Amino acid sequence: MTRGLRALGYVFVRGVTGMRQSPLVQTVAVLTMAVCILLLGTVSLLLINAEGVVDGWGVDVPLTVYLNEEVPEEDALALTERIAALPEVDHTELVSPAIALERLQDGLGTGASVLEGVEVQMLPTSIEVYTQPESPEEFSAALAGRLREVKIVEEVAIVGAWASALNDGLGALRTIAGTLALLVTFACVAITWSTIRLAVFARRSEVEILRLVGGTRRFVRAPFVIEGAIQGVLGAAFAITLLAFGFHSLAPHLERGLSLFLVAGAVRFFTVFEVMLAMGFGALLGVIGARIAVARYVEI
Amino acid sequence: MSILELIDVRKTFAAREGAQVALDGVSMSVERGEFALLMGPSGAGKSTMLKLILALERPDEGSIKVADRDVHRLTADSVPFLRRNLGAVFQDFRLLSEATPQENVGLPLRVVGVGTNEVRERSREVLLRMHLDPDLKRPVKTLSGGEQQRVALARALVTDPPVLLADEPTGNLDPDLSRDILDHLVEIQSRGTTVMLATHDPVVPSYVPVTRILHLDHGLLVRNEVTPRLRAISDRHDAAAAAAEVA
Ligand SMILES: Nc1ncnc2c1ncn2[C@@H]1O[C@H](COP(=O)(O)OP(=O)(O)OP(=O)(O)O)[C@@H](O)[C@H]1O
Ligand SMILES: [Mg+2]
Repeated sequence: MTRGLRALGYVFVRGVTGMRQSPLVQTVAVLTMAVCILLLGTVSLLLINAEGVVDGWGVDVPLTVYLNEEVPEEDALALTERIAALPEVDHTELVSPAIALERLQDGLGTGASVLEGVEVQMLPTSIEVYTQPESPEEFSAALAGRLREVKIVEEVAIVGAWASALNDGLGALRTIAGTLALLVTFACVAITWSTIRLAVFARRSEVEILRLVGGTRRFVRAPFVIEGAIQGVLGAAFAITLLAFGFHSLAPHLERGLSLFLVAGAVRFFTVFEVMLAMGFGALLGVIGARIAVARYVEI
Repeated sequence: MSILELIDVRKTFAAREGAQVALDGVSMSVERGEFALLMGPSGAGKSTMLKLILALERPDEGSIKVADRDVHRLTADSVPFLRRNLGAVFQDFRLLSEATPQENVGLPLRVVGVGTNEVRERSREVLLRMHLDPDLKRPVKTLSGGEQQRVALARALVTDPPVLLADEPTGNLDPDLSRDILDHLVEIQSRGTTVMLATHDPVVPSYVPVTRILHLDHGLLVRNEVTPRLRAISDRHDAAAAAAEVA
């Protein structure tokens, strides 16, 4: 076991020394990978924040009907049931001021202290209308028009129309991110594959000699795979560092410009876990590229 | 019991002028503990035979056995373990040209995960036996041919392998040094290592107390000459085996 570990240690040292033998190629490879991962990282960050905005808005509620102050509870209930009875409507929900306050507190989380002193009565009663998924787009608009005529209704907010537009946008962004992820995966694997292939050619006599003295296939190949993994991790780390710099210089401006839309009040960067995931992803791509090269060019 | 055995081995190399026959139906065996000489003119197939035993080349026909195991039926994963038991000196040395003598000699130990201190100790010790400065910090490529040859021999011996295959290990040495190295090989053999030495130096058989001389010519084994010393060797091994059985 300790022998195995020592052999591994030696393999690691050789992997690193191997990289030092061609610093230019290595740097170019790492930078190219970094650019690829940076692109993917930027799109992912956009997607994460856009999803955050959309989630925060609760856009799955197509129609919200705000009622006048001091509407008797029976009238509110009656209207709720009448709307629910429409065939195009899936279901409705009456939101009392108490529930509204509770939701607001939940939504604000630790920032809930700003609500201190807010009286329950200051919030309006509202009816949330969930339409059938297959109901026509115009239905929401028509229903809103009719509801505005009802005496106890103060205002009707149609979220559905722009929510669906936003969802479409989000879908497009997801497609872009997915496609980009594929392209980046392919590009990074190709980059390590070609640099490791070069490394194998450059160190061919070393490979040959290790075979002669009884190096196992794994022992001979491992340094190259380690080299690929290091490339991947460095590429990802470099990309994330650049992205972090970009994010921290842009975020304040974005937050000011978008303050209306930002429910949580801030755009966010990747979590530590997500950063680790990205590094792992880089390492994995490096390992895959290196393994392909090594399987093809290091014979035993 | 034979430790090396070739049965009807044929090896050809593809060449532009047609197939080049390197070994043409060679059968022979070497017992444990022997000092066998492989002789013959240039191009006779000596190096090819050693490479086949090391599983560096595949035979077209026939089989090659090391300790009764067919080396060309081994899986790719077990070939390295075969090579760890066969110390080898190549005609062209095959050293890491940018590495120091000590790094080169330590390589077979590194491969099996021996710790740095032990690697240094053992490499130094064999280099000294080969009359080389063990602390030389120069890359091997700056060494003379004879010095490189001794580094190669040191690398083959550092693991104390049960079998030593040496391809012209004294080809680049002056007569004094050559005799010294041969004495060393004889000593190793006297301690139980099987030695197979390829050479076309006609002086070697008269100087070294060999057990067997194999003569190759144009890929044919033209003579397989056993000397009286072989009896002594096999008696010794039989006695050892008998003792082991009794115990
Ligand atoms: N890789 C190869 N490709 C083509 N032909 C080869 C190859 N290796 C050996 N040969 C040929 O096989 C024959 C035997 O070569 P080998 O190296 O075994 O000879 P040798 O007895 O070791 O000679 P020397 O004493 O010069 O070292 C030669 O004719 C050689 O040209
Ligand atoms: Mg030869």
